[in-house]
Amino acid sequence: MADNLNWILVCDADELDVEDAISFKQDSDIYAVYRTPSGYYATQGKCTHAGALLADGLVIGEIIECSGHQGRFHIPTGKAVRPPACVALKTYPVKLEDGKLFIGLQN
Amino acid sequence: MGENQGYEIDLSGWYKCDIDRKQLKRLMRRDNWHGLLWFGGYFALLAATGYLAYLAIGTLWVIPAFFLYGTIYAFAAPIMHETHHGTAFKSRWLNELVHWLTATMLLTEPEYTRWGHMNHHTYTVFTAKDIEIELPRPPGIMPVVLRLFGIVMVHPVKICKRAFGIIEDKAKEMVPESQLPKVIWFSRLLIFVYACIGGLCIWTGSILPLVYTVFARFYGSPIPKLFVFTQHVALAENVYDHRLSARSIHLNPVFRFFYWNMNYHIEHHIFPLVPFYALPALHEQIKDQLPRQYSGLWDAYKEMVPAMIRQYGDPAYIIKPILPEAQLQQQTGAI
Repeated sequence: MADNLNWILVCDADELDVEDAISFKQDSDIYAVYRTPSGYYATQGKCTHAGALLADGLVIGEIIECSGHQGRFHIPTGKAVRPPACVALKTYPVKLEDGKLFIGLQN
Repeated sequence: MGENQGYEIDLSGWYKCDIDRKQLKRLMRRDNWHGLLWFGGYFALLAATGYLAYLAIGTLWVIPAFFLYGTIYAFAAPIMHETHHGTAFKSRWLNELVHWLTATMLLTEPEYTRWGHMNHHTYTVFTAKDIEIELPRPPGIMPVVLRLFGIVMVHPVKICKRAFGIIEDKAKEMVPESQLPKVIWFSRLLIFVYACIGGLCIWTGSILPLVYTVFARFYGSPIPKLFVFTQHVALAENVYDHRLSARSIHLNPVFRFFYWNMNYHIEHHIFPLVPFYALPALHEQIKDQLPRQYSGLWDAYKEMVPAMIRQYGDPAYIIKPILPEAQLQQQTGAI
């Protein structure tokens, strides 16, 4: 599975504080990369509800609150945990190497 | 529509100001103490003016005293608004408690009103979608009067129907399905609260419980509404740029206290997760990217009123704020 992944550099890991998120664009797709108290994660970049950029939202522990309608998602699993969000986010693997953060995308 | 749940607008398409990401995160941080201070101050003033009004009964002071009390009472609306966004308090239960309390004071059911307001943020002044457009274009006298006294914001028939589980299609369109039971139960609770107030009137043989609650929501409404009208009236419709469809005005600290800083209205629409107490700091960060801030209510109305009058002859007329980039172009051209 991991062999099929293309690891793309997102940013220096220290660019992200704890409870922080950043948008990352690759080709025409937008991703959100987070740092929570438990580590680094990545999901699709736009909310499944109305398309707001998730990185503009508020990271509270392991939760991202969308800036559009305050829907909430559990970052590690992508699960929608508060309405109006009800469709889960796609999640992507992230790895940290030499202080740099990479997102794993399917080839 | 893509992956979005039935929305015709992709929120990422709205204009956004440039702001340092870490700075924005700092501004979005929530706490309880600002909300408690402002809400506590509000409630203390409400109680004090309510007591003064009671003392004034039987004198000529009764009219100004109740007008003052009612005006403060109707300023519950900006508090309810902040709790719609969940930004009044860090603590969720506190936020929801104040949300329910202020909505009940204003004779509205909190859950439907919240999602109606989310609709307003999604489709700000998009004429076919936004249910919170204050005035039609051109504005008639009656809509202005009805809005000024808060009459069109109260829907007793719909509340009664919702209490019986009959929810209109428009509400179903806006409220997430999982939240519809809340609409029903909060409608029942609203009816129960006001039945108790009615019962109190009968029991005490006095109309005062109604004067302090239901009537106050209406007779106290005009001054808060004068602030609300400045938010969007006579500005652009159907544009993806809040700088053209919303208006920010400068207010003194007393007015900002009662209005919960909603005079920073463009800032609020562009960054709705920034709590009310951080809006002045947000304004400082992004003001170079916004149209000029009006110097006060008078400055806003002296442009709005002639524009509304002009709309009778020319319904397409709108005020077009000068954006900083256009201003810069003009200056460069002049050089």
